[in-house]
Amino acid sequence: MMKYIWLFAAAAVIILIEVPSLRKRKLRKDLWVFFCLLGLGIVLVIMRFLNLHIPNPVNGLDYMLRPLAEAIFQNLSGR
Amino acid sequence: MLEKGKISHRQLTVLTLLYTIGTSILIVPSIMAVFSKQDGWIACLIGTAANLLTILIYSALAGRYPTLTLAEFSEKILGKWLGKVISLFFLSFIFLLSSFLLRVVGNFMTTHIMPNTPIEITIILFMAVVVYAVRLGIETTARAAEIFLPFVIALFLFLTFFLLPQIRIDRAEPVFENGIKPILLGAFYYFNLQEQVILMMLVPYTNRPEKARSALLAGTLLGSVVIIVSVLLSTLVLGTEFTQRNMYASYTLAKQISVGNFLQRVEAMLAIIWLITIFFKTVVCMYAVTLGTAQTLRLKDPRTLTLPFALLLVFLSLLVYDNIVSFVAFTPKVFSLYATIFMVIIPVGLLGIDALRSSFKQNQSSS
Repeated sequence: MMKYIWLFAAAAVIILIEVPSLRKRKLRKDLWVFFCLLGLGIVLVIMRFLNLHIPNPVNGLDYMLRPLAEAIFQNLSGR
Repeated sequence: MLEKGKISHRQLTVLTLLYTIGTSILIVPSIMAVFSKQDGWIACLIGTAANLLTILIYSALAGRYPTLTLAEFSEKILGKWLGKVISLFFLSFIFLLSSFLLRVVGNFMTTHIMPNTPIEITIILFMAVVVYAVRLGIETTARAAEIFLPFVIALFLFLTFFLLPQIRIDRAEPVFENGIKPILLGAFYYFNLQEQVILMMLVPYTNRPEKARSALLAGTLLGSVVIIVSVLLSTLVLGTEFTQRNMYASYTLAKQISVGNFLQRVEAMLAIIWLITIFFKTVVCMYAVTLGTAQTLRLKDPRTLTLPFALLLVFLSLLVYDNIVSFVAFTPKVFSLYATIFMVIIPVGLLGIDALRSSFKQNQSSS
């Protein structure tokens, strides 16, 4: 439970720091992007707290590049 | 222009120097020993030469658009939509790289310095300092780099000097034992651990962009000298096998210092050097990613993005590796290919397309 409180407290502090000045300067697009990114971050962290499966970008890269990486390694390792 | 700060070309040299030392001083000696054995320092020399060569390509590209960053001129060269796709692809690389850097800090601190502190706390604290620096802007960061540089140089010279008595030249022999191939492999991996292409995001903010090329070359060269010396010292003092077995070989190297049973356990000095340099590398990366995103999405204030990005980066850095084993399996082998896309293929492609387009335009106007 404590970790959720910390997460929402952090999100509240972030909003308090950024949003007033953005509203005063009337930067609507910036405000949109800000809330989208912050929402994405909060959702992902909650998914992590709930131990849900989150696709790892490194695994995708590994899957795509591993065959070529192994070929380079085999040809150059000199064994 | 989004960023109003300006840095001098001397400050760019200092930032490049710290950026090049970056993570490499701690992780490169072990990687070189694994793949190139005792010839790791030759591999580093070849990798440095390749690095300097790519900087010539980058500065040729930046020289065509001296006031624009990579995220902006890719739209100029490829048109609006394809350019945006390429710059977002490029920014995703910098974003992932920043999360790797954060994770490397966390791994090192939890395994070697503060084993009882959770890795999350280390990462969040480090991120907080990085965010603070990014929000203050590039000018402040560059001045901080100038202040920290003498400390880094002095500590490094101190370590090198006190390791000199323990050098045994025969540990570097036989040279070229397995032929040229393992050296080329090591050089390829070394080259891809220096992501100099990201410094292109800073070039438009130097007060004289025409001097940026010499600044980048000088900074990279000096930083590479530091890394080559640490690789060479690891081989000459620890020997190849011992270097291979230690993930952070230069940290173990600093533990070897013992002057008259009096001056001992100075390895924290190496940790200080490394934390300073990786701090500047992370700041440059995060600065590049916030500025680039703001330019691609046409936002007015890149500072807005820093805090949401910080949350995402902390999350991503905890997600990317399950443990240190998956880090070792990924980092040199697969990461090198991934980095090649952004360090060689995209800049060369952009330069080629731009050269074709400008020659085409000239032909049309002359006929």
